[in-house]
Amino acid sequence: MLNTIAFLVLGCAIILGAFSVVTVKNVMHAAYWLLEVAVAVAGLFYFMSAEYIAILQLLVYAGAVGMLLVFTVMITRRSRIDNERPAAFSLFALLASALLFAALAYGVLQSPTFAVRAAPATVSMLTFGRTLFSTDGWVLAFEIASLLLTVALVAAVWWTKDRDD
Amino acid sequence: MHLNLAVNYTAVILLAAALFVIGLYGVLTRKSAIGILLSLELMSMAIMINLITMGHFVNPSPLNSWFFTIFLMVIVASEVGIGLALIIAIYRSNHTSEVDDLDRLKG
Repeated sequence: MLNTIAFLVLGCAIILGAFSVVTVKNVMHAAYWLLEVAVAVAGLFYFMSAEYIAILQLLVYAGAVGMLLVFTVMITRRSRIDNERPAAFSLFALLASALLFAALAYGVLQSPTFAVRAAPATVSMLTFGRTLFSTDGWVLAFEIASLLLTVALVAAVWWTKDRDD
Repeated sequence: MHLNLAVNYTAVILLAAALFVIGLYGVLTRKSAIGILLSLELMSMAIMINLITMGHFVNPSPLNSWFFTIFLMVIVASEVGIGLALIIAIYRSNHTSEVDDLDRLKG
């Protein structure tokens, strides 16, 4: 019962926040709404016994990515009000999104693989860390991910530095 | 702490689908490049919800879904970093960050 209420609250927070992100005129407010959605998604992760992922979500999305977005909005937008597309195009976008959602919902409700339900398992942090950093586990992917982050950092600094050309 | 299995698996997947299509709507209708990036964030969050949910309910061990989610977070963080750097670079040269104004290659 408590879980259902928590899921309903988090689901409403996610959906309404996402609507605000895409419809609010002020881009700065949209960035703040994205932070709200990120926190709600972290709560959802927590309720699916992925506490570590929930903490990472808070750190990476609500912390790092959110601050980056807010600062970029402050730097680049002179008027922070986003222009609107013509109503006909918005209607087309709405129709396309609704069609995609209908197709996805039909697939989810019909597909037999989605009916498989095993007992949910819990994983200890010890197993998590050992599997992540063992050579027959994910350590290679981990190193490649850190390399990707380094390359992205260097590229971002290179793109944003002042050049005379 | 666990969600009630029988009720909520499909509901969470449908929630993720709704979040994804809302993000798609935002990508299609936003005019500023930052708004488009915000909507892309929504779509990637929907993907992460999908991964965690399937790892929790379908896969007997959620470990693989956790790792996929972590690496997805890494990729999204790099994407946002490079995307925002590009937006700033474009703003410096064009004094706008609206995608409709970036039509220099248009014949």
